Amino acid sequence: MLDLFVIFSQGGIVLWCCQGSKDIILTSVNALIRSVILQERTGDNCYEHGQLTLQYKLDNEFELVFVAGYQKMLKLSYVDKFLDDIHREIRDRFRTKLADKRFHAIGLAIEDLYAEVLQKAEVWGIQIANQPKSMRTFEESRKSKKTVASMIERPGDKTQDKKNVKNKKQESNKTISYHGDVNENEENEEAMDAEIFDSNGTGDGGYQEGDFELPKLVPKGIQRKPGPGKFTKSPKSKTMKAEKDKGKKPRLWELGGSPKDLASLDRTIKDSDSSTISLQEINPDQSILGKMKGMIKPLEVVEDDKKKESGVLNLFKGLVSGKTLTIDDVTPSLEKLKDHLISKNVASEVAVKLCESVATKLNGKVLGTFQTVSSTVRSALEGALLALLRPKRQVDVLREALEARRQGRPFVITFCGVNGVGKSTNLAKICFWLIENDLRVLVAACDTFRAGAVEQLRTHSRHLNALHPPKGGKACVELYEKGYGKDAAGVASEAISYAKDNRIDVVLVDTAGRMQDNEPLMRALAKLIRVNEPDLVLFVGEALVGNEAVDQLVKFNRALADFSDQTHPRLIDGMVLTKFDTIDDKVGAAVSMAYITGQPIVFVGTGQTYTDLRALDSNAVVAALMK
Amino acid sequence: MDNDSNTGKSKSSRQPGGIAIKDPVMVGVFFSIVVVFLTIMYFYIRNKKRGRSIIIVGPSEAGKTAIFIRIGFGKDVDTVTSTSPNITEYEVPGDAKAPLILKDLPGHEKVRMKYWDSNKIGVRGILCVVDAAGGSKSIRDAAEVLYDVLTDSIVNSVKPDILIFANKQDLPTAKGTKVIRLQLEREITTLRLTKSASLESISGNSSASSKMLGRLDRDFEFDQLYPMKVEFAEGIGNGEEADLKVIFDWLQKVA
Repeated sequence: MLDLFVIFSQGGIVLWCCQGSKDIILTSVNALIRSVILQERTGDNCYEHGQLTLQYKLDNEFELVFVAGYQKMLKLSYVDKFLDDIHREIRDRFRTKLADKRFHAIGLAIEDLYAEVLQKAEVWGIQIANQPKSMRTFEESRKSKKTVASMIERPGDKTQDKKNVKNKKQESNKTISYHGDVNENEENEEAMDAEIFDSNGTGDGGYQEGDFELPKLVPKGIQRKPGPGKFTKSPKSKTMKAEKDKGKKPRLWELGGSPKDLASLDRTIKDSDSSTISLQEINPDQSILGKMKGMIKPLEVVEDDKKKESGVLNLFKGLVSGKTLTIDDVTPSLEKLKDHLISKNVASEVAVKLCESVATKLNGKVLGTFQTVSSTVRSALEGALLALLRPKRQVDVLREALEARRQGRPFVITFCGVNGVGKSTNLAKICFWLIENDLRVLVAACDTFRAGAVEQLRTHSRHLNALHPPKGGKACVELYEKGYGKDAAGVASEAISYAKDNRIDVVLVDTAGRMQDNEPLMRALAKLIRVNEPDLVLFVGEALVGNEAVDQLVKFNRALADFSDQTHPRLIDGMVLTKFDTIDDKVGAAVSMAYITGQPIVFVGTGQTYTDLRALDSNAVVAALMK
Repeated sequence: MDNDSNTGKSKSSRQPGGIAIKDPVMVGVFFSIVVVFLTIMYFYIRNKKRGRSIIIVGPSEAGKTAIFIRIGFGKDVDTVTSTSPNITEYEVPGDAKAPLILKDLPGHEKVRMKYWDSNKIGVRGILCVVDAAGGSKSIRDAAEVLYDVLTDSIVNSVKPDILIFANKQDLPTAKGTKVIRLQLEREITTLRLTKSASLESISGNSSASSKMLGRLDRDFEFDQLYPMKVEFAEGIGNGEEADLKVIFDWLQKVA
């Protein structure tokens, strides 16, 4: 039983809508459009919204979309066939009318047709359900896919194999921590992966489908009970993580690192009166004053002459050659483009999904006379990438900070991310930008774990105050710190109330770096965000990261959703892409991160001085990607 | 003597018909220069000239597509979020001139700029639809759209007529044109500040937005955009009480 069935044009006009409360129907359809079509996730044709599952089909020839919705728990099997049938019927009957775009306003009257096709589909569904399950043919079975050699069992060889793999494992554990030899690592990983694949029993790759389900990232408002310290991990990533952790030398304090050593490790007591440190010791580079005023400059990515379609051929584009694209036509070009994207450091899952989405959008499209298949595919992919990098809502930090000032409260930005991505450095850069634009900033040192974190921020604040001398007796940048070992959430809330009392405009909260798998630390971060309700939660990620970006962001978002007991948990609102100067044109990390979260990239860090802060220029990045 | 004149005649490239063309290469060069010149003139004029298109812009969920259908077809339809533009022709009643081309561009931020850039050539008038009942958030979104439109280079060279339409007046929380105008002016004043880039920017994008709107010494007011005409109106986009008379009048004026 279908709850809703809607046909609408890509221009937004509803051609036909089945009976039902229009408001609910149109709300669900709008949610579908915003989450799927505009986010370039059209690869899989299913979308869940509230209690409904929405299945959709794109008609690219006439630019229509067919959407069928039913209760999520029903799991109807005939909906695919129903969508195909009704699409075909409508195409056949109204072909001439649909070609004229003006027809969209008039709408279709297809109640009878709808009822008929639906009934046929339901009958078919019942038939299929009643059929006994047919046996698999030999071609479909797993056995036919294995090689003969792998199936021959020789008792001696088997134990030999296991021994070899075990040795390699032990070897790898030892060698990684000391040599970090890249080649060896890869070999060992592959050997271990092979073993793990066999142990799973599935011959089709160890990457489980459940690990990467994009629709689940949207906060549903359904309470998720966090399991006892369990994240569903694929065995592959688990072993890689274990390898990584073993490879990193564990932090060892000579004194043992217990709380009673805190006194000797705590450096906050010394030179606490910062005013006595004469400004002569700090020689700030005065030349950077005034460079960051106003909006942040967009990124410059070196690009050659842009390929523009010549104006003359544009005039002829209207002539239709009649060639309709099918999935098979576009697949070879898409494969090449996908490999190209992966070579530019786009995460592989993201590249695959993007290409699927573009294929769905091109299926059935009619080509113009002077357009080739490869150029159409290329421009479609470019359009998809551009839309991906354009934010779905503008994050204008200055604007929102001024708005918060008008409301008499401070604007709070929280920085989170894994270890070593550049949170504190970029916090200082953003602080400089803010004080250049006449805002007063409070830096809250909520990294109470890493040695030197508070000192680092203190040095930055001294430098910045030397650059921008205090106005009217009040310093431009103040530091709020409570030393080490304290609860970060508590420090943050105290900092925010301090800012409110002293009428400080912006609060920048620096948190400790944490791995996405570390459950207690993720809990602590979620608590900090839940308790303090910052205006902006920025995830700091480095541009060097490849496939890791997917894992980091998915787990961070999931942790924030799971460990906050609200119906609408705060998730990541934006991203800061750092170390952009270290990659030349392998700018794919920006695309991966934007695809996973759907949030904008607010800042880009391009170096280690205060002026190395840029805004993302989607055109430049896409040009660099497609070059 | 005859030999000399004969050889003299054959040497100079005399065409039958008596036109003394010196060299075929020169002809080719001359033609190509003419073609290039004409193409340049064509593009220059196209960008400078007022065409026949009326572009409907505005933030998402303002009611643009509904108004588009009302004006273009006189009907009421249900609409969802647009992902691609709607284009149709509109014959101005009682006017013998060529019909206007109505273009309804999607308002969603992801695709807004893409379709604006490809459709802004030949603009004659801009209809900006604002949700008057949406509160301060919708005013802020509308101000962003307006800022992008008003700082666009083609808009500044062509100077189309602009009508800002406060839609959804049938809702109880809807604000009138005076309030909307004030709020938009205040918002654009703030936006001017936050978006003004420094002068050393290199990329082409920022140079467009660095053009300051209006007079810098005072708060922004729409009158400062003279000679570009900006008008305000209010009404109801669709439904039984649809009232779009002001838009029809404006279209007649603009045509």
